[in-house]
Amino acid sequence: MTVSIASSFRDIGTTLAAAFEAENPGVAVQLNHGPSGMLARQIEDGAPVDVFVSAGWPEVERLQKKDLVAGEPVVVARNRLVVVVPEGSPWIGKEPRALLESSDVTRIASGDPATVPFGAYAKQALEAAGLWTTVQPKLVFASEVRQALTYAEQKAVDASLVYATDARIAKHAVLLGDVPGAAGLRIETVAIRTPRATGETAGRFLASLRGERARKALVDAGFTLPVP
Amino acid sequence: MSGTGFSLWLSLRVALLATAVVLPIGVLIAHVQARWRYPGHGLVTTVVLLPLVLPPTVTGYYLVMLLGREGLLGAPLHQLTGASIMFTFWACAVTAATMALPLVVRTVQGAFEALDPTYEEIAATLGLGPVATFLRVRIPLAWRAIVAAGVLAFARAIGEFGATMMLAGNVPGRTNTMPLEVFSAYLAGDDARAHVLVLLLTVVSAVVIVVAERLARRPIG
Amino acid sequence: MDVQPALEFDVVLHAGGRSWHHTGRMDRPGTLVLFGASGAGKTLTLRALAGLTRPAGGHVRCGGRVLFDTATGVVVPPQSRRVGYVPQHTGLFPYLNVRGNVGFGVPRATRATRVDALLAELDLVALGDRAPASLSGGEQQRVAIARALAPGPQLLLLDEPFSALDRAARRELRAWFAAHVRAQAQVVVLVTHDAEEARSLGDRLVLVEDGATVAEGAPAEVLGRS
Repeated sequence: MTVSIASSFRDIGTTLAAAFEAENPGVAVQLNHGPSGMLARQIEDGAPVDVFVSAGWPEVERLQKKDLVAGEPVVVARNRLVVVVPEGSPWIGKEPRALLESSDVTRIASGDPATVPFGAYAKQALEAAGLWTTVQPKLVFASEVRQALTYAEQKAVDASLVYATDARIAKHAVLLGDVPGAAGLRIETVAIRTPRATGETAGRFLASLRGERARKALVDAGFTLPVP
Repeated sequence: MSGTGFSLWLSLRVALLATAVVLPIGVLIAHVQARWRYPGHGLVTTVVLLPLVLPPTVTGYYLVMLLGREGLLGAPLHQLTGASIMFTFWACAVTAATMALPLVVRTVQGAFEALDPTYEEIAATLGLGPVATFLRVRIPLAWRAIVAAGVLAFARAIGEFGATMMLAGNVPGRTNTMPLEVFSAYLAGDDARAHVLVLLLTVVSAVVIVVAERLARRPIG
Repeated sequence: MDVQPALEFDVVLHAGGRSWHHTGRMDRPGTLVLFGASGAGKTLTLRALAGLTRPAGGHVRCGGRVLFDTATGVVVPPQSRRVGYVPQHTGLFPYLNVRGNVGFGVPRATRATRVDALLAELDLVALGDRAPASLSGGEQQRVAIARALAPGPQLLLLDEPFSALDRAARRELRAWFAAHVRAQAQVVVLVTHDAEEARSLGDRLVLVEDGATVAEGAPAEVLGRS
């Protein structure tokens, strides 16, 4: 069975896939990871993928429009969108909004809203907070959320807009706070089964992502559990 | 589609600048390498040709190590000026130039090595010093190769993608070159846009080839 | 009073494991013929006179100027020697027409007038705008000689200029040479292995054989002897 997982879900996805394999002898889980936009594109192009765990809804909706989703999407986890700054940044301890509004800040890493969920969420949040026009000219697009985090750790940017789960594993970047305007967003990790997936295995895998073990691992990693 | 217009203009500027810089430098390096054997000759050849042989991401990595915010040259630069080359137009240009240089050197060096030394000897007896001989004899004799090298350099520069992403990143309105836009459109599932971009790039490349063919055929002087 | 000879050389050359020792002397302007079989090192000697090859030893003096002397360490580079050189295969610049070739060594300020004047003197005006590749062998030789003469050299060196041509062209060219080039009052060193040519064009002849100068004198004398 081939499972495409979004890069923000990569570490935990790898663990859960291994656990699934252990509990289901005879099933080999082949992992494929990358930015959600790229994974969706691969499915559109006919890649032999059985399960897709996307970091957001836009990519899933895109696939739904092309009849590439079998059954109902399953919400696996919820996440928060936060602002991180490089360690040693003068903004530590200050409000995210102040940083985003400041003219001293010239580079902020996010993602391309058209190709990755964390970019789309950032845009929606900032628009809701009335900050999009101020922030947009300063944006540097990372190809995936981990790269955005790296940019902050390398001090290549003044701040990065990443998931709370990524901020947790950061070694040289400090979490400042939630992205203003993100509170109202459904930032959810969504898993779907493709029409290609035959048999029971894919369905069982999706179910396992909502199981006890998965929920524990998600909380440990900093995700919020989905509303049951 | 102003985004497309900007990307096209950006890619053209990057490629033209990179070619304009890399041609003279490449021709000079080719001249030195073709004429003199000195200790370190082989090392220079290797270093110059590396970007041609290494995977683009490896070259990109080295460029970041060298010119990034905390790089060998980037760190002192940042100390002095407070600026970093990452995420700027210059990062695109430097990366494109790095990738194009080996093509120029290889093409022109071969032509220089094949030149009959008689012409330059005659020029010397006619009173021309080394610089005048280089400009008025060596370059005209190798003209076709130099034009070909320019075309190759331009093509390589305008199509540069992998290493550019690492040093220049994807900054909309600043470093989103055509190849990058094609990739983004592809990822976003926007095939209509991807088609337009690909078509534009192809047309531009075809025009460059035609212009270069004309230039190569025209006798100079 | 010591009048300097127009040309005087005595050089030792090493190449490909062989050695040559060639000498020559012209007291007055005129044509010196270097005569001998192929492979006798004549081309090498011309190149040494031009400054394109450095002899292992000896000296070269032209009209009172020392161009080369191992004793004093003088080595004048070719661009400063005021020497005209026409190799066996002309070497006309393919990317310039005849006018461009002929005027190549002339400073830009005086180029146009000098080229016009020289083409007229050498009867080459008709060829002015032609490309080198479109010229016959004889025409190419004439243009190459014109090019070498244009900067006004003290010494003109010709390496078997007529050997690649058929008999008719050769005779025509010899006539042209006699009529026009000799009138330029140069010191000319002409390399040839054609006795008829040597006799008709040379004022003085140096016979080379086995890597050395064997005889020197008026052509008729030297050739008459052998």
